[in-house]
Amino acid sequence: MLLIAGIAVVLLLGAVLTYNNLVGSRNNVENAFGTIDVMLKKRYDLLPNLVEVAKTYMKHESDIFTRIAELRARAQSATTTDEKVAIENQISGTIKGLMVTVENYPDLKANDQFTMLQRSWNETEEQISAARRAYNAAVTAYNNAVDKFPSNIFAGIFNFRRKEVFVIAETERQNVSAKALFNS
Amino acid sequence: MQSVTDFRSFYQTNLQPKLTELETTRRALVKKLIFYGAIAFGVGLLLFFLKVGIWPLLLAAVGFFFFYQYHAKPFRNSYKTQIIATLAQAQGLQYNHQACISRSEYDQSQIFVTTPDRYWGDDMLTGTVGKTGIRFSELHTQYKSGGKNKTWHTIFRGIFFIADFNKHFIGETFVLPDVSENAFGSTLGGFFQKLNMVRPQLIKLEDVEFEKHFAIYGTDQVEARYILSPALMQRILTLKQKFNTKVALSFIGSHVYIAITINKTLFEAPWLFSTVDNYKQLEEFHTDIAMCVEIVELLDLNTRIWTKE
Repeated sequence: MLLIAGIAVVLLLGAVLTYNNLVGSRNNVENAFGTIDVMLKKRYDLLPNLVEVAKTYMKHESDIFTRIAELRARAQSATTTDEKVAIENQISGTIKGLMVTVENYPDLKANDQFTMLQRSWNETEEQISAARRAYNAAVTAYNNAVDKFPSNIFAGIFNFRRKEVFVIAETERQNVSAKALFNS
Repeated sequence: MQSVTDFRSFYQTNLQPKLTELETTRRALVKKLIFYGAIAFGVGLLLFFLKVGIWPLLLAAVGFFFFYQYHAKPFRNSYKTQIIATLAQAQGLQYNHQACISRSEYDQSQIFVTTPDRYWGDDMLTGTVGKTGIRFSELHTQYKSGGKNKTWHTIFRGIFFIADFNKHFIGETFVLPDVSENAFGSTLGGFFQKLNMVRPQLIKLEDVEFEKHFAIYGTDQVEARYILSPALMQRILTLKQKFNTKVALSFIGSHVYIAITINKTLFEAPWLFSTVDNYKQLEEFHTDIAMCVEIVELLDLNTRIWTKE
Protein backbone atom coordinates (compact mmCIF):
# COMPACT_ATOMS: atom_id res chain seq x y z
CA MET A 1 0.00 0.00 0.00
CA LEU A 2 2.74 2.37 1.11
CA LEU A 3 4.74 1.42 -1.97
CA ILE A 4 1.89 2.20 -4.32
CA ALA A 5 1.32 5.54 -2.62
CA GLY A 6 5.06 6.26 -2.93
CA ILE A 7 5.09 5.51 -6.63
CA ALA A 8 1.98 7.64 -7.14
CA VAL A 9 3.62 10.61 -5.39
CA VAL A 10 6.80 10.28 -7.47
CA LEU A 11 4.77 10.05 -10.69
CA LEU A 12 2.68 13.06 -9.76
CA LEU A 13 5.78 15.06 -8.89
CA GLY A 14 7.36 14.08 -12.20
CA ALA A 15 4.21 15.13 -14.06
CA VAL A 16 4.13 18.52 -12.34
CA LEU A 17 7.80 19.16 -13.08
CA THR A 18 7.44 18.15 -16.72
CA TYR A 19 4.36 20.29 -17.20
CA ASN A 20 6.02 23.29 -15.54
CA ASN A 21 9.08 22.85 -17.71
CA LEU A 22 6.88 22.96 -20.81
CA VAL A 23 5.12 26.11 -19.64
CA GLY A 24 8.42 27.67 -18.65
CA SER A 25 10.02 27.08 -22.02
CA ARG A 26 6.94 28.35 -23.84
CA ASN A 27 7.07 31.56 -21.81
CA ASN A 28 10.76 31.89 -22.60
CA VAL A 29 9.89 31.77 -26.28
CA GLU A 30 7.28 34.49 -25.88
CA ASN A 31 9.66 36.60 -23.87
CA ALA A 32 12.40 36.21 -26.47
CA PHE A 33 9.97 37.20 -29.19
CA GLY A 34 9.05 40.30 -27.21
CA THR A 35 12.71 41.27 -27.08
CA ILE A 36 12.97 41.17 -30.86
CA ASP A 37 10.03 43.55 -31.02
CA VAL A 38 11.72 45.93 -28.61
CA MET A 39 14.92 45.92 -30.68
CA LEU A 40 13.00 46.43 -33.91
CA LYS A 41 11.20 49.37 -32.35
CA LYS A 42 14.54 50.86 -31.34
CA ARG A 43 15.81 50.60 -34.87
CA TYR A 44 12.57 51.92 -36.23
CA ASP A 45 12.98 55.09 -34.14
CA LEU A 46 16.43 55.63 -35.58
CA LEU A 47 15.24 55.54 -39.15
CA PRO A 48 13.75 59.07 -39.51
CA ASN A 49 16.86 60.68 -37.96
CA LEU A 50 19.15 58.78 -40.26
CA VAL A 51 17.14 59.71 -43.31
CA GLU A 52 16.91 63.35 -42.23
CA VAL A 53 20.68 63.77 -41.96
CA ALA A 54 21.48 61.79 -45.09
CA LYS A 55 18.90 63.63 -47.20
CA THR A 56 20.58 67.01 -46.86
CA TYR A 57 23.73 65.66 -48.45
CA MET A 58 22.49 63.06 -50.88
CA LYS A 59 20.33 65.20 -53.14
CA HIS A 60 20.63 62.86 -56.11
CA GLU A 61 19.48 59.72 -54.33
CA SER A 62 15.83 60.59 -53.85
CA ASP A 63 14.84 57.09 -55.05
CA ILE A 64 16.25 55.41 -52.01
CA PHE A 65 14.50 57.79 -49.63
CA THR A 66 11.17 57.29 -51.31
CA ARG A 67 11.71 53.57 -50.95
CA ILE A 68 12.54 53.88 -47.24
CA ALA A 69 9.47 56.04 -46.64
CA GLU A 70 7.35 53.50 -48.46
CA LEU A 71 8.76 50.62 -46.42
CA ARG A 72 8.16 52.53 -43.19
CA ALA A 73 4.54 53.10 -44.10
CA ARG A 74 4.15 49.42 -44.93
CA ALA A 75 5.81 48.35 -41.69
CA GLN A 76 3.32 50.44 -39.73
CA SER A 77 0.34 48.84 -41.39
CA ALA A 78 1.72 45.30 -41.26
CA THR A 79 -0.47 42.97 -39.24
CA THR A 80 1.06 39.49 -39.28
CA THR A 81 4.46 38.68 -37.82
CA ASP A 82 5.70 37.16 -41.08
CA GLU A 83 4.82 40.29 -43.00
CA LYS A 84 6.49 42.46 -40.37
CA VAL A 85 9.68 40.42 -40.45
CA ALA A 86 9.76 40.49 -44.26
CA ILE A 87 9.46 44.28 -44.32
CA GLU A 88 12.08 44.71 -41.60
CA ASN A 89 14.42 42.56 -43.67
CA GLN A 90 13.86 44.81 -46.64
CA ILE A 91 14.57 47.88 -44.53
CA SER A 92 17.83 46.27 -43.40
CA GLY A 93 18.83 45.63 -47.00
CA THR A 94 17.93 49.13 -48.16
CA ILE A 95 19.90 50.80 -45.38
CA LYS A 96 22.86 48.57 -46.12
CA GLY A 97 22.69 49.83 -49.70
CA LEU A 98 22.47 53.41 -48.43
CA MET A 99 25.58 52.92 -46.31
CA VAL A 100 27.46 51.72 -49.38
CA THR A 101 26.42 54.81 -51.35
CA VAL A 102 27.57 57.08 -48.51
CA GLU A 103 31.12 56.32 -49.69
CA ASN A 104 30.45 58.67 -52.64
CA TYR A 105 29.61 61.56 -50.31
CA PRO A 106 32.72 62.50 -48.33
CA ASP A 107 30.97 65.44 -46.64
CA LEU A 108 28.27 63.19 -45.28
CA LYS A 109 30.81 60.57 -44.25
CA ALA A 110 32.64 63.21 -42.24
CA ASN A 111 29.46 64.46 -40.55
CA ASP A 112 29.64 63.67 -36.83
CA GLN A 113 25.94 63.28 -36.39
CA PHE A 114 25.76 60.88 -39.29
CA THR A 115 28.66 58.72 -38.10
CA MET A 116 27.02 58.48 -34.68
CA LEU A 117 23.74 57.44 -36.29
CA GLN A 118 25.62 54.94 -38.41
CA ARG A 119 27.17 53.47 -35.26
CA SER A 120 23.77 53.31 -33.55
CA TRP A 121 22.38 51.58 -36.60
CA ASN A 122 25.13 48.97 -36.54
CA GLU A 123 24.49 48.46 -32.86
CA THR A 124 20.76 47.87 -33.26
CA GLU A 125 21.39 45.56 -36.21
CA GLU A 126 23.71 43.49 -34.05
CA GLN A 127 21.21 43.58 -31.18
CA ILE A 128 18.39 42.44 -33.44
CA SER A 129 20.55 39.59 -34.66
CA ALA A 130 21.35 38.68 -31.05
CA ALA A 131 17.66 38.79 -30.14
CA ARG A 132 16.85 36.50 -33.06
CA ARG A 133 19.52 34.06 -32.00
CA ALA A 134 18.17 34.15 -28.46
CA TYR A 135 14.70 33.51 -29.83
CA ASN A 136 15.93 30.56 -31.86
CA ALA A 137 17.68 29.13 -28.80
CA ALA A 138 14.47 29.46 -26.78
CA VAL A 139 12.44 27.83 -29.58
CA THR A 140 14.92 24.96 -29.81
CA ALA A 141 14.72 24.36 -26.05
CA TYR A 142 10.92 24.46 -26.26
CA ASN A 143 10.77 22.14 -29.27
CA ASN A 144 13.08 19.70 -27.49
CA ALA A 145 10.67 19.64 -24.57
CA VAL A 146 7.73 19.10 -26.91
CA ASP A 147 9.41 16.28 -28.83
CA LYS A 148 11.35 14.41 -26.17
CA PHE A 149 10.01 11.57 -24.08
CA PRO A 150 8.28 11.72 -21.59
CA SER A 151 7.32 15.37 -21.87
CA ASN A 152 5.95 14.80 -25.40
CA ILE A 153 3.03 12.93 -23.75
CA PHE A 154 2.06 16.03 -21.78
CA ALA A 155 2.72 18.23 -24.78
CA GLY A 156 0.17 16.12 -26.64
CA ILE A 157 -2.41 16.25 -23.87
CA PHE A 158 -2.12 19.99 -23.20
CA ASN A 159 -1.72 20.95 -26.80
CA PHE A 160 1.80 22.32 -26.86
CA ARG A 161 2.78 22.64 -30.50
CA ARG A 162 6.21 22.93 -32.09
CA LYS A 163 7.29 26.46 -32.99
CA GLU A 164 9.29 27.60 -35.98
CA VAL A 165 12.76 29.10 -35.70
CA PHE A 166 13.68 32.28 -37.54
CA VAL A 167 15.11 31.63 -40.95
CA ILE A 168 17.09 34.35 -42.66
CA ALA A 169 15.24 35.56 -45.72
CA GLU A 170 16.65 34.51 -49.07
CA THR A 171 17.31 38.11 -50.11
CA GLU A 172 19.36 38.69 -46.99
CA ARG A 173 21.60 35.72 -47.63
CA GLN A 174 22.80 37.23 -50.86
CA ASN A 175 25.34 40.00 -50.72
CA VAL A 176 23.74 43.39 -50.87
CA SER A 177 24.33 45.02 -54.20
CA ALA A 178 23.84 48.76 -54.11
CA LYS A 179 23.30 48.87 -57.82
CA ALA A 180 20.45 46.41 -57.72
CA LEU A 181 18.84 48.37 -54.92
CA PHE A 182 18.82 51.59 -56.87
CA ASN A 183 17.63 50.00 -60.05
CA SER A 184 14.67 48.33 -58.45
CA MET B 1 57.96 43.85 -35.03
CA GLN B 2 56.69 40.32 -35.21
CA SER B 3 59.14 38.39 -37.33
CA VAL B 4 62.35 36.80 -36.09
CA THR B 5 64.65 38.79 -38.37
CA ASP B 6 63.15 41.97 -36.98
CA PHE B 7 63.71 40.80 -33.47
CA ARG B 8 67.32 40.00 -34.21
CA SER B 9 68.07 43.52 -35.36
CA PHE B 10 66.14 44.93 -32.40
CA TYR B 11 68.15 42.68 -30.13
CA GLN B 12 71.42 43.90 -31.63
CA THR B 13 70.67 47.61 -31.47
CA ASN B 14 68.52 47.95 -28.35
CA LEU B 15 69.22 45.01 -26.11
CA GLN B 16 72.85 44.05 -26.57
CA PRO B 17 74.40 47.27 -25.17
CA LYS B 18 72.30 46.88 -22.02
CA LEU B 19 73.05 43.17 -21.83
CA THR B 20 76.80 43.80 -22.05
CA GLU B 21 76.56 46.23 -19.16
CA LEU B 22 74.51 43.79 -17.10
CA GLU B 23 76.88 41.01 -17.96
CA THR B 24 79.81 42.99 -16.52
CA THR B 25 77.88 43.53 -13.30
CA ARG B 26 76.95 39.86 -13.20
CA ARG B 27 80.55 38.70 -13.63
CA ALA B 28 81.73 40.98 -10.85
CA LEU B 29 78.98 39.59 -8.63
CA VAL B 30 79.90 36.01 -9.46
CA LYS B 31 83.54 36.68 -8.63
CA LYS B 32 82.50 38.14 -5.29
CA LEU B 33 80.24 35.17 -4.60
CA ILE B 34 82.94 32.66 -5.48
CA PHE B 35 85.53 34.49 -3.37
CA TYR B 36 83.42 34.72 -0.21
CA GLY B 37 81.88 31.31 -0.87
CA ALA B 38 85.31 29.71 -1.07
CA ILE B 39 86.38 31.35 2.17
CA ALA B 40 83.20 30.28 4.00
CA PHE B 41 83.31 26.71 2.74
CA GLY B 42 87.09 26.51 3.26
CA VAL B 43 86.74 27.50 6.90
CA GLY B 44 83.77 25.18 7.23
CA LEU B 45 85.70 22.24 5.81
CA LEU B 46 88.75 22.98 7.97
CA LEU B 47 86.64 23.01 11.11
CA PHE B 48 84.94 19.81 9.93
CA PHE B 49 88.27 18.03 9.57
CA LEU B 50 89.35 19.38 12.93
CA LYS B 51 86.36 17.41 14.26
CA VAL B 52 84.57 20.52 15.49
CA GLY B 53 81.41 19.18 13.87
CA ILE B 54 79.33 19.50 10.71
CA TRP B 55 77.55 22.69 11.79
CA PRO B 56 80.20 25.13 10.49
CA LEU B 57 79.71 23.62 7.04
CA LEU B 58 75.92 23.95 7.30
CA LEU B 59 76.33 27.49 8.58
CA ALA B 60 78.45 28.27 5.53
CA ALA B 61 75.79 26.84 3.21
CA VAL B 62 72.99 28.85 4.83
CA GLY B 63 75.15 31.96 4.88
CA PHE B 64 75.98 31.49 1.23
CA PHE B 65 72.32 31.09 0.35
CA PHE B 66 71.39 34.41 1.99
CA PHE B 67 74.44 36.08 0.54
CA TYR B 68 73.33 34.92 -2.93
CA GLN B 69 69.77 36.12 -2.43
CA TYR B 70 70.98 39.45 -1.10
CA HIS B 71 72.92 40.10 -4.30
CA ALA B 72 70.65 38.36 -6.77
CA LYS B 73 67.56 40.40 -5.93
CA PRO B 74 68.81 43.84 -6.98
CA PHE B 75 70.39 42.22 -10.01
CA ARG B 76 67.09 40.59 -11.02
CA ASN B 77 65.33 43.91 -10.58
CA SER B 78 67.77 45.80 -12.75
CA TYR B 79 67.47 43.05 -15.37
CA LYS B 80 63.72 43.55 -15.36
CA THR B 81 63.74 47.35 -15.38
CA GLN B 82 66.23 47.42 -18.23
CA ILE B 83 65.63 44.39 -20.41
CA ILE B 84 61.96 43.54 -19.93
CA ALA B 85 61.04 47.23 -19.91
CA THR B 86 62.81 47.67 -23.26
CA LEU B 87 60.98 44.67 -24.69
CA ALA B 88 57.68 46.13 -23.46
CA GLN B 89 58.43 49.59 -24.86
CA ALA B 90 59.12 48.07 -28.26
CA GLN B 91 55.44 47.09 -28.34
CA GLY B 92 54.20 50.37 -26.93
CA LEU B 93 53.66 49.16 -23.39
CA GLN B 94 54.77 50.43 -20.00
CA TYR B 95 56.29 47.98 -17.61
CA ASN B 96 56.32 47.84 -13.83
CA HIS B 97 57.96 44.76 -12.38
CA GLN B 98 56.51 45.24 -8.91
CA ALA B 99 52.89 45.92 -9.81
CA CYS B 100 50.18 43.46 -10.79
CA ILE B 101 46.48 43.33 -11.61
CA SER B 102 44.81 44.45 -8.38
CA ARG B 103 42.89 42.14 -6.12
CA SER B 104 39.74 44.22 -6.61
CA GLU B 105 39.93 43.85 -10.38
CA TYR B 106 40.52 40.14 -10.03
CA ASP B 107 37.44 39.93 -7.80
CA GLN B 108 35.43 42.10 -10.14
CA SER B 109 36.04 39.72 -13.04
CA GLN B 110 34.25 36.95 -11.07
CA ILE B 111 35.97 34.36 -13.23
CA PHE B 112 37.03 32.42 -10.13
CA VAL B 113 34.50 31.89 -7.38
CA THR B 114 36.89 30.61 -4.71
CA THR B 115 38.16 33.40 -2.45
CA PRO B 116 41.95 33.34 -2.50
CA ASP B 117 43.90 33.20 0.78
CA ARG B 118 47.12 34.07 -0.98
CA TYR B 119 47.34 36.60 -3.78
CA TRP B 120 50.59 37.19 -5.58
CA GLY B 121 51.57 38.81 -8.86
CA ASP B 122 54.17 40.87 -10.66
CA ASP B 123 55.28 42.08 -14.10
CA MET B 124 52.47 44.47 -14.90
CA LEU B 125 52.25 45.70 -18.48
CA THR B 126 49.94 48.53 -19.52
CA GLY B 127 49.29 50.39 -22.72
CA THR B 128 46.97 51.23 -25.57
CA VAL B 129 46.82 49.14 -28.70
CA GLY B 130 45.07 51.16 -31.39
CA LYS B 131 41.95 52.38 -29.63
CA THR B 132 41.93 49.71 -26.96
CA GLY B 133 43.40 50.09 -23.51
CA ILE B 134 44.96 46.91 -22.17
CA ARG B 135 46.75 45.77 -19.03
CA PHE B 136 48.01 42.40 -17.94
CA SER B 137 50.28 40.80 -15.40
CA GLU B 138 51.37 37.52 -14.00
CA LEU B 139 49.12 36.29 -11.18
CA HIS B 140 49.10 33.36 -8.82
CA THR B 141 46.17 32.88 -6.46
CA GLN B 142 45.78 30.10 -3.93
CA TYR B 143 43.47 28.91 -1.21
CA LYS B 144 44.30 26.75 1.77
CA SER B 145 42.50 23.71 3.03
CA GLY B 146 42.65 21.47 6.06
CA GLY B 147 42.92 22.47 9.72
CA LYS B 148 46.31 21.73 11.26
CA ASN B 149 48.35 20.48 8.34
CA LYS B 150 47.06 22.97 5.86
CA THR B 151 47.82 22.57 2.18
CA TRP B 152 47.81 25.22 -0.50
CA HIS B 153 45.92 24.77 -3.74
CA THR B 154 46.28 26.88 -6.83
CA ILE B 155 43.15 28.66 -8.03
CA PHE B 156 44.81 30.41 -10.92
CA ARG B 157 48.31 30.77 -12.22
CA GLY B 158 49.17 32.55 -15.44
CA ILE B 159 48.49 35.78 -17.25
CA PHE B 160 45.52 37.87 -16.23
CA PHE B 161 44.53 40.20 -19.04
CA ILE B 162 42.08 43.12 -18.99
CA ALA B 163 40.99 45.12 -22.02
CA ASP B 164 38.44 47.74 -22.79
CA PHE B 165 35.61 46.07 -24.74
CA ASN B 166 34.30 47.61 -27.96
CA LYS B 167 30.57 47.29 -27.29
CA HIS B 168 28.36 48.74 -24.58
CA PHE B 169 26.65 46.31 -22.23
CA ILE B 170 25.20 46.33 -18.74
CA GLY B 171 24.97 42.71 -17.64
CA GLU B 172 27.55 40.04 -16.87
CA THR B 173 28.63 37.29 -19.24
CA PHE B 174 31.01 34.44 -18.51
CA VAL B 175 32.84 32.16 -20.92
CA LEU B 176 34.38 29.40 -18.83
CA PRO B 177 36.25 26.22 -19.68
CA ASP B 178 33.68 23.48 -20.01
CA VAL B 179 34.55 21.09 -17.24
CA SER B 180 31.35 19.12 -16.92
CA GLU B 181 30.58 18.67 -20.61
CA ASN B 182 34.07 17.32 -21.19
CA ALA B 183 33.80 14.90 -18.30
CA PHE B 184 30.20 13.71 -18.68
CA GLY B 185 29.31 14.21 -22.34
CA SER B 186 26.84 16.75 -23.65
CA THR B 187 23.57 15.47 -22.15
CA LEU B 188 24.64 14.72 -18.58
CA GLY B 189 27.23 17.51 -18.67
CA GLY B 190 24.58 19.96 -19.80
CA PHE B 191 22.45 18.84 -16.87
CA PHE B 192 25.29 19.65 -14.43
CA GLN B 193 25.89 23.00 -16.14
CA LYS B 194 22.28 23.93 -15.52
CA LEU B 195 22.52 22.94 -11.86
CA ASN B 196 25.36 25.41 -11.28
CA MET B 197 24.23 27.58 -8.36
CA VAL B 198 27.01 30.16 -8.34
CA ARG B 199 26.63 31.37 -11.90
CA PRO B 200 23.78 33.21 -13.62
CA GLN B 201 21.66 31.35 -16.17
CA LEU B 202 23.22 28.98 -18.67
CA ILE B 203 23.38 30.23 -22.25
CA LYS B 204 23.28 27.73 -25.07
CA LEU B 205 24.98 29.08 -28.15
CA GLU B 206 24.59 27.76 -31.66
CA ASP B 207 28.30 27.29 -32.37
CA VAL B 208 28.84 23.59 -31.62
CA GLU B 209 32.62 23.82 -31.60
CA PHE B 210 32.52 26.75 -29.17
CA GLU B 211 30.07 24.93 -26.92
CA LYS B 212 32.43 21.95 -26.81
CA HIS B 213 35.19 24.07 -25.26
CA PHE B 214 33.24 26.51 -23.13
CA ALA B 215 30.28 26.79 -20.82
CA ILE B 216 28.59 30.17 -21.12
CA TYR B 217 26.66 31.87 -18.34
CA GLY B 218 25.08 35.29 -18.38
CA THR B 219 22.56 37.59 -16.77
CA ASP B 220 20.87 38.34 -20.09
CA GLN B 221 20.29 35.89 -22.93
CA VAL B 222 20.15 38.56 -25.62
CA GLU B 223 23.04 40.62 -24.33
CA ALA B 224 25.28 37.56 -24.09
CA ARG B 225 24.60 36.89 -27.76
CA TYR B 226 25.12 40.54 -28.57
CA ILE B 227 28.60 40.29 -27.04
CA LEU B 228 29.34 36.80 -28.32
CA SER B 229 28.63 37.33 -31.98
CA PRO B 230 29.32 34.33 -34.26
CA ALA B 231 32.55 36.05 -35.31
CA LEU B 232 33.73 36.60 -31.74
CA MET B 233 33.06 32.96 -30.85
CA GLN B 234 35.39 31.88 -33.66
CA ARG B 235 37.94 34.43 -32.53
CA ILE B 236 37.89 33.19 -28.95
CA LEU B 237 38.46 29.65 -30.21
CA THR B 238 41.47 30.86 -32.19
CA LEU B 239 42.76 32.62 -29.08
CA LYS B 240 42.48 29.40 -27.12
CA GLN B 241 44.29 27.45 -29.82
CA LYS B 242 47.03 30.04 -29.98
CA PHE B 243 47.80 29.91 -26.28
CA ASN B 244 47.07 26.20 -26.28
CA THR B 245 45.94 26.24 -22.66
CA LYS B 246 42.93 26.81 -20.40
CA VAL B 247 41.33 30.18 -21.10
CA ALA B 248 38.43 31.78 -19.21
CA LEU B 249 36.74 35.09 -20.01
CA SER B 250 34.24 37.42 -18.45
CA PHE B 251 32.54 40.50 -19.81
CA ILE B 252 31.66 42.90 -17.01
CA GLY B 253 31.39 46.67 -16.70
CA SER B 254 32.59 47.49 -20.25
CA HIS B 255 35.69 45.33 -19.87
CA VAL B 256 36.74 41.93 -21.04
CA TYR B 257 38.73 39.93 -18.49
CA ILE B 258 40.80 37.00 -19.71
CA ALA B 259 42.52 34.48 -17.46
CA ILE B 260 45.13 32.47 -19.36
CA THR B 261 46.55 29.56 -17.39
CA ILE B 262 50.31 29.28 -17.82
CA ASN B 263 52.46 27.04 -15.66
CA LYS B 264 55.76 28.86 -15.78
CA THR B 265 57.21 31.99 -14.24
CA LEU B 266 57.29 34.78 -16.76
CA PHE B 267 59.90 37.46 -17.40
CA GLU B 268 62.48 36.28 -14.85
CA ALA B 269 66.21 36.85 -15.14
CA PRO B 270 68.38 33.72 -15.40
CA TRP B 271 70.25 32.81 -12.24
CA LEU B 272 73.54 34.52 -11.55
CA PHE B 273 75.77 31.69 -12.74
CA SER B 274 74.55 31.75 -16.32
CA THR B 275 74.79 34.51 -18.88
CA VAL B 276 72.06 37.14 -19.26
CA ASP B 277 72.77 37.31 -22.96
CA ASN B 278 70.46 34.42 -23.79
CA TYR B 279 68.96 35.14 -27.20
CA LYS B 280 66.48 32.29 -27.11
CA GLN B 281 65.06 33.29 -23.76
CA LEU B 282 64.81 36.95 -24.73
CA GLU B 283 62.98 35.98 -27.86
CA GLU B 284 60.57 33.95 -25.77
CA PHE B 285 59.87 36.96 -23.54
CA HIS B 286 59.28 39.02 -26.64
CA THR B 287 56.85 36.44 -28.03
CA ASP B 288 54.98 36.23 -24.71
CA ILE B 289 54.39 39.99 -24.72
CA ALA B 290 53.55 40.02 -28.44
CA MET B 291 50.94 37.30 -27.96
CA CYS B 292 49.17 39.32 -25.27
CA VAL B 293 49.22 42.45 -27.43
CA GLU B 294 47.84 40.38 -30.27
CA ILE B 295 44.74 39.52 -28.24
CA VAL B 296 43.36 42.94 -29.20
CA GLU B 297 43.62 42.08 -32.86
CA LEU B 298 42.54 38.48 -32.37
CA LEU B 299 39.33 39.56 -30.66
CA ASP B 300 38.93 42.49 -33.05
CA LEU B 301 38.66 44.98 -30.19
CA ASN B 302 39.79 47.91 -32.33
CA THR B 303 36.72 47.71 -34.53
CA ARG B 304 34.67 50.56 -33.17
CA ILE B 305 31.65 50.61 -35.41
CA TRP B 306 29.23 50.63 -32.48
CA THR B 307 28.36 53.62 -30.30
CA LYS B 308 31.29 53.00 -27.98
CA GLU B 309 34.36 54.93 -29.12
